Amino acid sequence: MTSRALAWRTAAAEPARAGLAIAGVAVIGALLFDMLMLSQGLLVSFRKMLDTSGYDVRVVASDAFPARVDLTNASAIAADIAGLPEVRQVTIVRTDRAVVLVPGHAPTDVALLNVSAGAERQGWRVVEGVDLGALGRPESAAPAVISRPLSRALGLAPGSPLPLRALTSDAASALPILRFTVVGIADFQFENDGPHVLATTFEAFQRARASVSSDVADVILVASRSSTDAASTVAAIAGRRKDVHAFSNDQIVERFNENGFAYFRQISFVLSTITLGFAFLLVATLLTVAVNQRLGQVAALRALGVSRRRIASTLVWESALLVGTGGLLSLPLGWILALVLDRILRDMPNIPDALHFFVFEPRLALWHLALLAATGLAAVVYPVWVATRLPIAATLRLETVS
Amino acid sequence: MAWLRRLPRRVPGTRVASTAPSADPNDLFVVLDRFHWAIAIVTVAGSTAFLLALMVMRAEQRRDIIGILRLIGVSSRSILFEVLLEGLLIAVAGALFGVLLAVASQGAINRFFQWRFDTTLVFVRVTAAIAWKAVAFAVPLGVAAGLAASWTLLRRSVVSLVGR
Repeated sequence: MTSRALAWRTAAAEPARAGLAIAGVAVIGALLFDMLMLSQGLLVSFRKMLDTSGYDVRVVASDAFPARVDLTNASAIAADIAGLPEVRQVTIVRTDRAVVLVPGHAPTDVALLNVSAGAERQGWRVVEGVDLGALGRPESAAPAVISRPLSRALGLAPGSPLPLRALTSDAASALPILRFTVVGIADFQFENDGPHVLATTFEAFQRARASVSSDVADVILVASRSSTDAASTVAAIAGRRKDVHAFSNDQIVERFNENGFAYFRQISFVLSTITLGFAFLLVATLLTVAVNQRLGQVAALRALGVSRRRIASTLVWESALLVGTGGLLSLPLGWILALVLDRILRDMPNIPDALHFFVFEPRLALWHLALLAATGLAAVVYPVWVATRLPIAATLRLETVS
Repeated sequence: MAWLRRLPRRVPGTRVASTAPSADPNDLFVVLDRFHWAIAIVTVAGSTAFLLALMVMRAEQRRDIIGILRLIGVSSRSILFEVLLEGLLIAVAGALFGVLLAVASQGAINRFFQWRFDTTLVFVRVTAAIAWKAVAFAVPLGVAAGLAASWTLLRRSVVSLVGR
C-alpha cells in the first residue's frame, strides 16, 4: 500500500476528526484568502476606476493631492495644456456643495458638478431625457442632469423644476436660489452613497455659485495621445506649467497606497500573518495528537519493516489531505465571505460604487494555496519527528502492558 | 450638547463635531468595528471546528474507560456531569491561558508591526472588557465542544464501547 493510500485510510477511519479538521482549515483559509484580496483590492479597484474614466493624467493645484486646493484660472491652464502635442483631450472638473429645495421635501444635499462641454459622456450615462446642451436652451435656463437616486428621492423627472442654493463651507448661505430644470436622469461614474449628484453647464454652475468672474476648478483631467505614455505627458505639462502639478494614474495609485489605503494594507498583513500562525498551530496540534494516539500502530508498522521515510511520507500525505482539501474549499468560502465583508466596509461614507475592498486576482489564489501548502508542511515537521524517532520495542511493550 | 447645533448659526463658517463615539451606522469607526467583529466571528468558527476535532479525538481515546464505567454501573448522566465539569475546568484554564498569552505577547506584536510599518499606531491592546469578552466566548464554547464530542460516545451501547 502506498503512503498516499495509507494516509487516505487513516483519515477515512475517523471521518468526524478529518471532516472537522478540513472544516477548520477551510474557514481559516477563507479568512487568509480574504486578507490577501484585501491587501491589493483597493489598489486594483481604484486603478481600474481611474483607467476606465479614459484619462491617464490629473492636473491639480497642489502637491498635497488628494487634499483639495482650488485650481485658479482653470480655463487658461486647460487651453495651454491642450496645446501640447502629447495631449489628446482636456476636461475641466468643477464641483461644489448645494442644497435642493423641492417643495414638499426636506432640503437635500447635492454635489453640484460641471465638466467641460463634450466630456459629459465620460462622466455619466443618460438613462432618461437628454444630456446637457442637447436642447440648445437659452442662457436664462439652468439645465440639470441628475442621478437616479436623486430622481427617486424627490420624485423628479425630465421637465421638473428644481430650485437650488449653493452652500458656503457646508453651512446655510444667503446665496440666491437658482431655478434649474431637470433635462435628464443619468448613472454617474463616480457616484457614491454620499450626496446625490447634479450636473449642469458651466454658466449655470457659475450662476449658482454667484461668482461669474472667478474661474476655479477641482482638477483638470488629461488624456494622452495613443502614441504617448502618461509619464511623457506629465513631464510635458510640468515643463509647460510651473504653477500646477500633474500626476499619472500610476503616481496617484502609489500615493493612495502610501497614505489613503495604509490601514487596509496594514490590517491585511497583520491578519494574514496571524491567520497563518493560527493555522500552523492548529494543524500541528491536530497531527501531533493524532500521532500520539497511534504510537502503537506506528511502532507496529516499523516492526513489520516499513521504513521511517514511508512513515514520514504517510504523515505528509495526511497533512496534505487535510490542508489541501480545506485549502481548496476555502476558495469558494473566502469568495462568499469577501462579499459579506466588502458589503460591511462599503458602508463607509463617500465610497464610490465602483470601488471594492476585496478584488479577486488569479495570482492571489495561487499565493493563497502556496502559503497554505507551506503551512501544512511546517505543521507536519514535529509529528514526523515524533513518529520516526520513537523506540519500536519500548513503544510496543508499553502498548501491550497498558 | 444643544450648543453644538447653535454655534455654527452664531458664528457662520464654523463647523462643530463631537468627539464622542458616533451612533451613525455609517460612521467610519462604527463600520470598522463591524468589520472587526465579522473577522472575529469567522476566527471563532474556524477555531471551533479545530476544537471539536480535538475533543472528538480525546473522547475516542477514552472510549474504553467510559465503557468500563458504564459496565460497573455508573449512569450516563453521572459520566456526562463529570465530562461537563472537566470541560468547564479545561475551558476556564484555556481561556485564562489565552488571555495571559495575549497580554504577554501584545508588546512584542505591537513592536514588530510598528517597526514593519514605521508607525506609532498601537495594533493590539488587551483591555479588561476584551479579556472578559474572550472568556465569555471561550468557556461556553469549550464546554459545549466537550459535551458534543462525549455525547456521541454516551449514546453508543456499552458492548460497542468496550469493543466486544
